[in-house]
Amino acid sequence: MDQRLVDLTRGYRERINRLAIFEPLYELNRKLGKDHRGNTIDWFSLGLLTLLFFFESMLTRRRQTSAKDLALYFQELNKTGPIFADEAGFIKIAREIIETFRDASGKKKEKVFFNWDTRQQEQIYYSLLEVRESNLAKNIQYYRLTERGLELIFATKEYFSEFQLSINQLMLRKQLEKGELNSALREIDEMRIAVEELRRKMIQLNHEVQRNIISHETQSKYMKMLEDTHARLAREHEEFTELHGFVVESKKKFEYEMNSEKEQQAYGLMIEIAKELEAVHHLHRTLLDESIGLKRKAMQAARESLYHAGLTSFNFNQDVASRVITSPLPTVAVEGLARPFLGPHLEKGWSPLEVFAPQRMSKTGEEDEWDARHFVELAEDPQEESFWQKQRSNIKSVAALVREMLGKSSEIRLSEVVALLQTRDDQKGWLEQRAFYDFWLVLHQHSPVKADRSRDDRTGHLLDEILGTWPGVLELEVLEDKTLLKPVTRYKIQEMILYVRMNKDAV
Amino acid sequence: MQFDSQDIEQAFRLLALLNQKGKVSEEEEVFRYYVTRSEVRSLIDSYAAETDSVIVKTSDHLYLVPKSGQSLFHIKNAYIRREYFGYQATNLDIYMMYFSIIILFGEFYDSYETPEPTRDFLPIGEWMEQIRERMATLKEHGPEKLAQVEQESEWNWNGVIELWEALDDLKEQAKRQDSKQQSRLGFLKRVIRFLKEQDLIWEQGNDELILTEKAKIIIQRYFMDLEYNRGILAFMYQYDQVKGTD
Repeated sequence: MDQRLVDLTRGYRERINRLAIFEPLYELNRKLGKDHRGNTIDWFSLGLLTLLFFFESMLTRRRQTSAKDLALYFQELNKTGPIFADEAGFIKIAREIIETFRDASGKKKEKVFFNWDTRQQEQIYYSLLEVRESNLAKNIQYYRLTERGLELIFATKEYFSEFQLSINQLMLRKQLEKGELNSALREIDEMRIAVEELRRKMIQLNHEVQRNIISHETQSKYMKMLEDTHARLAREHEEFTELHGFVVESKKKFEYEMNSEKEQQAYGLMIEIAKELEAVHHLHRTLLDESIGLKRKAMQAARESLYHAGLTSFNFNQDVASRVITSPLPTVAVEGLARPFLGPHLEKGWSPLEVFAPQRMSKTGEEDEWDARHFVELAEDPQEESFWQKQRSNIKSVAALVREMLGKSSEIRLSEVVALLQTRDDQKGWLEQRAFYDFWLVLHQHSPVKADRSRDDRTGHLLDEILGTWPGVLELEVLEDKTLLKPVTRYKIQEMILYVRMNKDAV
Repeated sequence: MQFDSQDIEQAFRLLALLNQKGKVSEEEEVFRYYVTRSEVRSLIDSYAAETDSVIVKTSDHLYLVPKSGQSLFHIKNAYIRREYFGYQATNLDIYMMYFSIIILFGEFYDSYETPEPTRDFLPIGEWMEQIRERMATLKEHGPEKLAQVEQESEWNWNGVIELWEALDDLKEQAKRQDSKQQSRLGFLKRVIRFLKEQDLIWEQGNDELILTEKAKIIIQRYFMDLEYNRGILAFMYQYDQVKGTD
C-alpha cells in the first residue's frame, strides 16, 4: 500500500480519544425528561452549561462546588423559563447531569473501539468530573473538572482553528529539529489545507459583502472580520518568513552531513519539504494581498450603501411565492415578478452585408462550433504535441478498421462495428480506447464532412487523416440514432450511422 | 447637464456590454468609468430607468436588472416560447415557467432571520414536489375564482393547472430523461436550460441545482432593497385591488 495511506491510521487511538469525550453530551441529548409544566428539557445544552459552570469555578478558584450550587445556577438562569421547576426539580436535573459525566458507580466511562492502527479491540477510559473534596458530616460532594473535562471545554473554543496555522508551523519546526522529516511533510500538507480553508472563507466573505446591502451595523461587523483576518494573515506571514529561514538553514546543515545513503535520503526529503513549504507560503502570501483588496471592496460597498437601504427581513418564499398563490394573483403578475431574473431584451437583426462575410462550410451553429473546437482539447492538454500525433495515428487506425468493415456497402451502423470488433480478439482492445469514440464524435460534429472543405484547426487534421483512408470519397456523413450503446462499462455512446458517398469517377 | 464626448462614448460602450450579457465584470475597462465618473453613472442610470431596469453595482460586477412588472424592453415571451418550448407552446407554458421560477427562488430564500439562502442546493425532485403542492393550493380557490382573477385575459390559472396536470412526472419507458419529453421533468429541464443560459442557476450533478452569484445578487440586492421592494409590493397590491373591486 501507498506509504501515505499506511500513515493514515497513525495515531488513530489518539483521535478516538479526543472524540470519545463528546459522547456524554450526546448521551444527555437522548435523555427524555420533562419539567413541571411538561415541556421537554434541552439536556444537551444543560450539559454544556454544566461544564462551563465548573470551568468558571475553577477560574475563580472556588474550591467547593456541589450539585446544589449547580442547581441554584440553573434555577437562577431559568427564572423566566424556558425550564420550569422548583428547587428540588433543579437539584434532580443537576444530579442527573453530574451522573452522566461521572458514573455514580465509580466506574470510569468506557469507549470501546477497533483500533485500525494496531488492529485490535481497545478501550479508552475517561471521566469528565471528579470529586475534589467532601463534607462527610453534611454528606456533600464538591466536584471539579478532570483534565478530560477541560479538554472538552477547550474543544468548544474558537481559537483552535484560528491558531491552526501557527500551531502547524510550530510543530513543523519541532519536527525538523528532531529530524522527523516524514511527519514534517505531513504537517506541511495540513498547513496547505488550512490555507486553502482560509481562502474559501475569504471568497465567501467577498461574496457576502457584495450581496448584502450593508447597513452601518453590518458594515462594522464585516470590517472587524476583515481586519481580524488581515491581522491574522500578517502575523502568519511573518511566522512563515521566519520558518522559511529556519528550513533553509536546516537544509544547509544537511548538505554538510551527506555521507551515508540514509543521510542522502534525508536530504532529498529536506529539499521536498523546502519546496512544499515555499508553495504553501506563496499561496498564503497571495491571500494576504487579496485581503487588502477585500478591505477596499468592503469600503466601496459601504460607500455604495449610501444610495440604498436594505430590508431587515424579507422572505422570498412567504412574501412573494406564497402571496401569488394565496391571493391568487393573476398569471401576468407572476410574469412581472419573474422579470428581474430574465435579463434585458436583445433585438436580433440581420444585415444584408452579412452575405459578404466569410461563410462556414460546415453546417455547425454557434453551439456546435464551440463544442467542436473544445471537444478533444478539453480532455487532454492541448499543448502536448505528442498527444496530437498519437490521436491522429489512432484515429487513422480506427478509420482504416471501419473502412475495412464497411467493404463495398455505403453505410454502416456503429452497433455493427462494435459487434464485429467484439468477435475479433486482436482488435477488441479498441473498444476500451477513447480514440475509437473520438472518431465517431469528431465525424458526427463535423458531419457532413466534405472532401473539399477548408482545413484550418487541429480537429481539421484529424478529419484529414480520416478522409485520407478513403481515396475518392466525396462526403462522409454521420447521423445519430435514438438507442444508447454501451460497448464496455467505461463508455456509453449513442447509436450512429455512417454514410459514405464516393466520387463516381474514382470508382 | 453637459456631457463630455468621451463620457458618452464610454457610457455607450458599457451599455452595449450590459445589454449583451446583462452584466459587466470589474475587469472590463469601462467598469472603472462607471465608478469614477459620475457623468457616466448618471447616463447609465437614466438609460436603465428608460428601459424599466435598474443597475445593481457590486464591487465585482455591474448588473442590469429588469424591474418587476410588464415592459416593452424586457425579454419577449415570444422569444422564450420559440427558443425553449417549441412552436406548439402557448403562453401557458411561459406562465408555468415563471411560476416554477418563483417557487425555485422561494425554496432558496425562506427565512426572515437571515438575508442569505437557507439551503445549499435544491434537488429537482424536491422542486417538482413544491410545485405540485402549490398547484394544489391554487386549485382550492376553485375554477370560477381563478378565472375571475384574470379578468378579460384569455390565459388564466385554470389553463396552467390543466397543463400541469396533463403531464406525467416522467416518462417511465424512456431510457434517458431529457428536455424534449412531454413530462413534468422534461418541462423542468427546459426551465433549467433557460435559467442556466440566464446565468441564474447551475447544476452540480445528481440533479441538484445551486444558485449563481448573479441570482443571489438579484434577490439580495434587488428584492431586498427597500426602495425596489416597495415597488414590487405595490405591483402585487395593484392586482389585489383589482380583485377587491369585483
